[in-house]
Amino acid sequence: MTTELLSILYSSRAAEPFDDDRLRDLLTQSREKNARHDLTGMLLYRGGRFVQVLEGPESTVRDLVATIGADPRHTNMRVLFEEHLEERQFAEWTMGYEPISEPREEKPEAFRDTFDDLEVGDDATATLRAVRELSLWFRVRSSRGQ
Amino acid sequence: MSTVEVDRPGAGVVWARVEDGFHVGSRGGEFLGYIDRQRDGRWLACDLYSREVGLFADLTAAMKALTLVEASERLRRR
Repeated sequence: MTTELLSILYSSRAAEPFDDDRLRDLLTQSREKNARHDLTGMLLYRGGRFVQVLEGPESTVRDLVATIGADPRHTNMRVLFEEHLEERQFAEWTMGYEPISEPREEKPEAFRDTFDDLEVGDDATATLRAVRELSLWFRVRSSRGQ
Repeated sequence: MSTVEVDRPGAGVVWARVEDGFHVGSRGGEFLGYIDRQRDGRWLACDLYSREVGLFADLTAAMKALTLVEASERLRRR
């Protein structure tokens, strides 16, 4: 019997702001747990908001998402996107992380904002595109740090 | 039609800002590539395989170059 791979992307809001130390602790904890449970993914934290991709065996991912949903460190958790995978998109990361800052500049005219599209809710095409844009951004930033 | 695409290679392209200075272009669910502002202020355009298309003085020039590369690649594949 094969176990289907599932990827879930969710967003949530930190109950209290996370400074660098708290984020580091959270990542250490997540990476240890994910390694034990064959989970991979990435985490973004921007302006008090988490965006996380989790991928792995379906039942494990769903269990963890339920656990995260009950974690008092954040609120307003929303699953934005889920899909079954043929292969992992973040196979190299037990929990990849790259710092991302809130925009300070005006968006170029006629451009969309990836984070706005991510949570638009009623436009699946825009959400999917935003997920892929973030994945691309993450890969580019990660490779730059190597 | 290909004539329209050659005349207007930017038609149907969606550009998005992921963060300040990092922009992704896509068309019909497929990436054209991305444009990443460098420390010296120039714009590095890369295709969807992260191959460098060029360094440009302004964002508009980088968008145009990436769009043309993708359009010509798409026509070549036909």
